[in-house]
Amino acid sequence: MADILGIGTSGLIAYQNTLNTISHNISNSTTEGYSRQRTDMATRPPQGTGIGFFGSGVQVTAVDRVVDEFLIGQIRTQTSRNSELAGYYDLASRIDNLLSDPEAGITPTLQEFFDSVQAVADSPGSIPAREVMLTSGELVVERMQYVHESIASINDAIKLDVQNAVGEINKYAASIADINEQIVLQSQKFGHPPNDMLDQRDELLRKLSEHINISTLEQDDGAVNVFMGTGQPLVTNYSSFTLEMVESDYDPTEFELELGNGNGVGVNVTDLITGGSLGGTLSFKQEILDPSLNQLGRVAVGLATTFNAQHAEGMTLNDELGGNFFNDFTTSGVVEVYDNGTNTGSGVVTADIVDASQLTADDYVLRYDGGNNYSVLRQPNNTVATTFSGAVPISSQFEGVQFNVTTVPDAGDTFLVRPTRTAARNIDMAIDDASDIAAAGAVRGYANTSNLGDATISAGELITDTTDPDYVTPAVFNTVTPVTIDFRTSGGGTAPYADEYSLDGGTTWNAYTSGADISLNGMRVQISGTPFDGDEFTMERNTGATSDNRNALALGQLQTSATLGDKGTGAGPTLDYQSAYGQLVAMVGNKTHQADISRGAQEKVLEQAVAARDRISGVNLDEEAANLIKFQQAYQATARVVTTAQTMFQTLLDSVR
Amino acid sequence: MRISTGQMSTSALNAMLERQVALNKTQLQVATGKKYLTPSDDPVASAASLGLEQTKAVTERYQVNANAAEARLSVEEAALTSVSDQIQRIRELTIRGGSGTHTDTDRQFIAQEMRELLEGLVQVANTKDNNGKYVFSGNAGDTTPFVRSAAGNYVYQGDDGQRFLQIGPSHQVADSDPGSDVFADIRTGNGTFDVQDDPTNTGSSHVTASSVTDQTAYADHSYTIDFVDNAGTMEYSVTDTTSGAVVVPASAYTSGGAITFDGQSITIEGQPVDGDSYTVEPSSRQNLFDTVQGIINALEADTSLPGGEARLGNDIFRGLNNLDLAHENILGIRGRIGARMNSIDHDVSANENMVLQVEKTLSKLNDVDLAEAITRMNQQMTSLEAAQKSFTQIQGLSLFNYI
Repeated sequence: MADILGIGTSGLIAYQNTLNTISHNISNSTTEGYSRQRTDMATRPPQGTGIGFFGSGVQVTAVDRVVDEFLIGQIRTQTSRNSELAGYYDLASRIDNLLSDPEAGITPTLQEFFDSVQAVADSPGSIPAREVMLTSGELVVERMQYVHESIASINDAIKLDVQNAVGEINKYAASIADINEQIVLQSQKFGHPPNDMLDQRDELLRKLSEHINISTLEQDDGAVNVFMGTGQPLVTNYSSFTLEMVESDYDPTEFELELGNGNGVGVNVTDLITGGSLGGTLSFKQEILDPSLNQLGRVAVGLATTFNAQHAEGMTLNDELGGNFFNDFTTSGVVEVYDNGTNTGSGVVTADIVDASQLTADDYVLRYDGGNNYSVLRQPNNTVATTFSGAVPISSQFEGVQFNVTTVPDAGDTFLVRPTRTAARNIDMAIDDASDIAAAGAVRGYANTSNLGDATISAGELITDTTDPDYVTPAVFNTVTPVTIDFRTSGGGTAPYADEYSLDGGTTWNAYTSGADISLNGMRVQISGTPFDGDEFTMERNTGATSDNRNALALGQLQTSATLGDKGTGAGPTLDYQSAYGQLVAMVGNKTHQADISRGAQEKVLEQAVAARDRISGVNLDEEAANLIKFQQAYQATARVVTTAQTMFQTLLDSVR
Repeated sequence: MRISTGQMSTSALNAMLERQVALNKTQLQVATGKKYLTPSDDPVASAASLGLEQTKAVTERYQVNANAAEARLSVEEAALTSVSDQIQRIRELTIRGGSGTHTDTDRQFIAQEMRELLEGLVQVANTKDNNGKYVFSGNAGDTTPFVRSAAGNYVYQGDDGQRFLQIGPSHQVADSDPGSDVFADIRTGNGTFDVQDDPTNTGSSHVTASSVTDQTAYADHSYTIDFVDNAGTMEYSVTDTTSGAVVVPASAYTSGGAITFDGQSITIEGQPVDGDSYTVEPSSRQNLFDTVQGIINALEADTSLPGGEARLGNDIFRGLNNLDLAHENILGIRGRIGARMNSIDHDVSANENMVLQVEKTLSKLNDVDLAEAITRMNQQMTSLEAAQKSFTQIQGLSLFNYI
């Protein structure tokens, strides 16, 4: 009877424990990261007798959590990938939306601007038309600045995001180190792992992987070591390392990430970080944000530079050569060059834009390799794009940019060159007076009305090639006087036809070829046909030509002319302004589109990973209800065993009374 | 296989969210009428439509330019039509003045009318466009094209510039002609050479015809035709003053007989006297107004002076020649204007087609098919509703309801 009571009691205790676990499961059915638990029961050691073994009841041997470590690791991996893509996509779609807004892009303002240029070509003397051209030029400038600022403000937001992510990573790493210690202590104390703490640690690791891709290694004592990147430790046993956001070595407004190694010395891990929201943010910055600003800047530099060049070939209403219409990006000091903060030498490097048509949207790092050798490394991949060598001062031109070294650096010193990054912010109008718009051609040629021959003179043009022997500077050109071209019949010629000419009343006679260039003082004309002896032509500055639209026409044609994207292959420029901007829109659109697709796919993958884990570890309430009934019934039956034991005992007592 | 309770609601919730996102997108498509809401929806189409938008805007600009060019050419055409009419009238008056049946006084009256006409001509040549710029001054829009100098002749002050407007991707059309082309640089004489009587001639000879008979023999030289009374026989000789050679030795003169040399033929009528001479020179250039002024001066000249009648005949002959060349020139310019207007019309309709095509392509690229989108939206709404209903029903299922 004592046995029966004992056996019954053991059942009561075991089923109570089991019902405990079921209640725990039901209560935690919605707890994040909770794995259902199961009580393992076994028979108690039997009592051996001469006739065999009598069972002595049941006992609970362990409370286990039902998990598959592989599936939990899968969730971490997929979570990290998912957060990366989601973060990347969210940021990308912000630029994507910005560019999709027809009111926000630069397309409409560019169109309006060139429309106004054509309007000036229609009525070159009209001051109102010129005012409209100035205003719409201002609009182009403002819109470029606006788009730049809008994208740049995302850059500021990124810094906050990164700061937050770094904070979270450090917080979780510290918590994991903490809980490692607890788990090890508890396991050692009770000989069983603390299930709920293991769940909590798994959940912490999952949350950490939302921010950064990690790998884990479980120690024999139950502690977990956590690594990021290519094996840089975030947590080892009970201690964690701190990730820190620091100023970039080049540009203090940019940031880098450093991982402390415990001695207070940080290691730059920016390029090693993958996965998680941090990885997504960093690759967005590298793949979309920085290139977007550069491409936009390239359009700005291209527009300003090519438009200025054409504008300088024309004549203003004030009878002077046109100056810059937009600000000049080709002057020295415009291109941003940053010394690496870790440079040991005192090298001086500058860069100038010399050919806007060849510009790319890339940044470069100039590295001094020693021995008068320099390498230009294309960013962000640091591949060697070109090399040059020579003693200082040395200049070398590459992709429209001229790199100048005036003081020799130490070997290994680097300099970051960003030709177009801030151009869209810096573009501005250079003129504000409508009469300074150079709509007219700079030179005109005309025939003397008393000419007897039928020779005609071309409209005339400005010599812009600075290497031409007849080139003069704008300041000189603005003072040149008309040049007469006098024809005569040479000694061997046939009167009255002229076969030689002199310039500006000079005594040097040049052989005449119909249609050939005749140049002097920065002016060039062609005379074709048959001039007579004594005929005279004149080329002169095109003053007072209020109805001349030659240069405005040429400016208007720039809208659809290929002026950018010269790859240096001899094929010449391939893009007009609009297409260069279109490349930016397509680039952002493509990347966002890709990210959207990958993100959608990744969401499904993550869902599946979660479902796979939940199938094993998730709580099913129906299952628990069934178990509840089952074990409740078993408990009731066992209780009946106790009652029976009691009744048996009473019967015995009654029988001896 | 087991499934956790949380999983059931999570996947049901995910399904609903997914359907909501799809529904929201379709709803936006229907509301905006756009197939693509951001460039990432179709990067290729977005970049293409940016390019097409530019093509459309540029082409529409070409239309504006074409209209401006057409308007300017119409103004020019109208001006030149009136110039043509006035030249016709001047020509009639010149013929009447030279007919020989009129007295000096009659010619004074004719000259008077011609003065009025000349003033009208100059006024037309100095027409301004609606921007207040002179039409016929080339590129010097603020310079009066033709003014009368102190010496009494008309001087062209503009330049030779011609303005072009862009009316097609690779087509520019001139919307003006400089006054030098239209009125000023007109060849004198018969267009190749010009025969002038010496002002001191006293005979009654005058030129009645001049032409180039052999273009290859013609050498652009200058000549003098000298008349000498050789013992009662009037003889002429022709000397090439460019080369100094005598090209026609002294020959007997017959009134109305052609004098030919070096590919040229000149007919002189009337009776020259000893010492009379003519010069033959390659045509120079003279403006229409000076030509008319020359005729007026001739009509106002005193014919009673020795050789006066002959001089009048010569002047009228030269004046008519010059006038005809001027008129030919104007007609030529009008022809060119007509050709330009034609080409503008062609371009305008080509541009219109272009805009239509681009709009069609843009619409294909960007516009949502409303019927399809609304059908899709209805399907998505039905499917969302189904997901919601099934969710609430499945959530109601629990074993706990029975214990």
